[in-house]
Amino acid sequence: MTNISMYIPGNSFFHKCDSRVKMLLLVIVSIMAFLFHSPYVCGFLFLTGVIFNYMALGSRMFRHMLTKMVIIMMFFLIILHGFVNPRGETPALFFGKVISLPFFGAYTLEGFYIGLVFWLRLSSIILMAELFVSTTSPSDLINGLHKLGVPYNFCFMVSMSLQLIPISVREATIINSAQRARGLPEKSIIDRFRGLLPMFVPLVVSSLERMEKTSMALECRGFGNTNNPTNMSDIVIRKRDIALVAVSVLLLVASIVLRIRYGSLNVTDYLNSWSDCFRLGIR
Amino acid sequence: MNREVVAHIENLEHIYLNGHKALIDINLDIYKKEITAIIGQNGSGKTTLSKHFNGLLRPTAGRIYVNGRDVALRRVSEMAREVGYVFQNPNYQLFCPTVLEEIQFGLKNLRLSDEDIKARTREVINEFDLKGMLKKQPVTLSSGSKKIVALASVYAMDPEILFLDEPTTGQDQYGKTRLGLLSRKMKEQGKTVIIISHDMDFVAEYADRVIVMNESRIILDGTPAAVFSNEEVMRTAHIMPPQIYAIGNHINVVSEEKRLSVMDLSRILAEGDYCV
Amino acid sequence: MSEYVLELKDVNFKYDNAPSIEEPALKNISLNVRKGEFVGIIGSNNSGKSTICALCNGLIPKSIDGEFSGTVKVNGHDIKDYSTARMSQEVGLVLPDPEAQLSQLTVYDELTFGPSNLELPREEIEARAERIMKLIRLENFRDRSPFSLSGGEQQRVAIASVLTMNPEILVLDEPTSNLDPLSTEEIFEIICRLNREMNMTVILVEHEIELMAKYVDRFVVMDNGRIVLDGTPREVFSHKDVFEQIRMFIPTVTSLAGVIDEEYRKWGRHEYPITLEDMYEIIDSGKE
Repeated sequence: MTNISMYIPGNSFFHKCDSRVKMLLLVIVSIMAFLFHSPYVCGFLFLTGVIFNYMALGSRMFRHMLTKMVIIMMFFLIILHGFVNPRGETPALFFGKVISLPFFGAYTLEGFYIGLVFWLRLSSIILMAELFVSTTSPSDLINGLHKLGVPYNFCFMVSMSLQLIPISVREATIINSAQRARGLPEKSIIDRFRGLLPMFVPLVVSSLERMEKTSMALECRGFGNTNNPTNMSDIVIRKRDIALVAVSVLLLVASIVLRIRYGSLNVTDYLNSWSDCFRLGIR
Repeated sequence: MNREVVAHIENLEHIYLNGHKALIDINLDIYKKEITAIIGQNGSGKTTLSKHFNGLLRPTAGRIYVNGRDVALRRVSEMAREVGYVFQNPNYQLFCPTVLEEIQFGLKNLRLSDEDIKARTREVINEFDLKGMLKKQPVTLSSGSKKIVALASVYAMDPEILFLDEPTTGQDQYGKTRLGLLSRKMKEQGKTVIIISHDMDFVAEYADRVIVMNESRIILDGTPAAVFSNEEVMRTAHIMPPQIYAIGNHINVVSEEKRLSVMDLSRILAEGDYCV
Repeated sequence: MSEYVLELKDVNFKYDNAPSIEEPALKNISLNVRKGEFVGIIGSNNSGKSTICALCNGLIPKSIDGEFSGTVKVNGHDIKDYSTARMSQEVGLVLPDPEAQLSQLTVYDELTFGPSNLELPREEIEARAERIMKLIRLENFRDRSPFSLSGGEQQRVAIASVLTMNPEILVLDEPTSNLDPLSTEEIFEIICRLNREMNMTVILVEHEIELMAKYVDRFVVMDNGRIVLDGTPREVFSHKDVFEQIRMFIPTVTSLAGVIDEEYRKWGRHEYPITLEDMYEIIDSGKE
């Protein structure tokens, strides 16, 4: 059974935190990541993300889809930006030599710097998102949304969508097998493209039929009778939640103050060597 | 009795990625012009086994040969010429705007010439009595008709082996009889029909041979009479024999060679030709 | 106060949007069910069986469009006067596809879903959920995702999730058609227990005639939108000609007895067996 919404059950500090607090943490980290253009700040957030995830998941974090995404992106972003970024001026020296690609030009310091920061920013956010989804059960996620004031119907839609994704994936696999068994050619890319219609129609038909059945079943269970069904969940704010909120908000405030005082720490315009990339950049 | 082998399986094993052993030590020959039924509880390995015939699943050990050639060396789309597979839910296979196009879909995949496609389509329409339905949208048909159309479109490709996965689910008795008679017709045309089913009445009526699977192995293989009279195996595999055989077993009159019919059994009971 | 928990009188219904069904689904149906009865409805596909199920809790005509005439009364009141939510507290409806009936993230949530929509107090809902979980033996599945269960387990959860609404009538539309024989027996056993131990009125639509013959008090046989036979299993199976006409089979044991009686004139009793157990008894004790 595929893992719905990437949740990994466990007993860590983060697992026990309220889902709304984790959502707040994610928002705060996202803001902080974009407040500064420094590998130090973004690196700190990145490291925090890695440590928190390891605390919550242990070595399972390395098998998580989002971790893998972060690792792949590192190679992709840093190398790409190095060659392609329009702000690139200063060629980077690798043991005295410049690396240059036809049509793209040389690998630049500015490109490297921007690519690095971009990757660190994005990864910090992704890692925090990973922490959130892997330590929050789908039930708690939905209840958290509802408690924040999101209308019941919308929450229900979100939870049904979470169910439907693995179901649709499973059905798509079966339909694919069924059509291959009818000789659907699978050699060239054109074949595979043509093969989308025989996949698409049964999937849509099957989804529509399922929706019809589910809506009947929901009616039989009184769905739609009220916008305020009895709340069955126990969401309680505990000390650890307050602590996490306090620390995050404090850091956010500190970041804003520092940003106003010292600027975004962006040194793109001052790069002449590798070591310049790691200057503090305080105004 | 000269039975031609159409599929040969040697020491077949299949272990899923999660470690589950779905098939253990399967050795089997499937013969031409027979209706073979594979029965067993969910999880016994029936579906896993059937998917090896057309390459949807590959063995983790052992081999399977269809028409003398190793399936492992061939693509699924290639195998479709020889092994037709009708899925349990016809909705997974039907997608064309008309029944006619549905039948022709497989033929087009085979890259046949236009005349061949026309000729073959005509044959199938006659065989399955689809003349009245040709312009209809397959998705709007009743479930029984959908099953027939799905079967017809797979049959159109003229495979030698036809797999029917739970063909009688959700069917009423008329639908079941229709499917059973079609299976017999296909057998007379020289095809090999393999049916995976939970419906013991259907199996008892139409199958020539029954293979019983339990916990990833084949535990019994024989005529319906031989299988349904083996009370111990039936218990192990959690299978309820159809009423006719249950009674036959109760009075010990089931002979392994002959299919037991209501007429036979009523004569036996009437004449008291048994001992409990 | 009516003696019937369910009364259908002169009901006609034609679906608005059903491309594969051209005729009216129900033609002048009248049916009365008493409390605690176990009624089996059988018939060919498209004979109207599912339509009757949807009538019982008001889905027809409230949510399903079509031309409807006649009256449907549950516990004496007309279903037209009540919302589906209200009706679901009197009539629980279980549908053929187990998975499509489930929508929650855990089995426990599934059981509390219905009553929570009724805005009942939390302690009441928890009590109901615990009781039903014990009854249907779902305690071990409490925190599991319904989608990780087998078909048979899912159908048990579906049944449990309508039972928490506390209906007195349970209507099941082909609950086992997608299930394997072992799960089918399990479901039948649960339904039978609900009927015998809790005096629930049960209306069961199925194709498994031989299995139903063991449990039902009464068979209603439908064909093409009409009721063609209505009586105890014995009464109904004695009309072999009607069954032949509508292309259905009576249980093998009954056919056997029929042949022995008519062809060989060796059937010494008045009655034909309707179940295997009946037949064994007769054989073991000698027919003559």
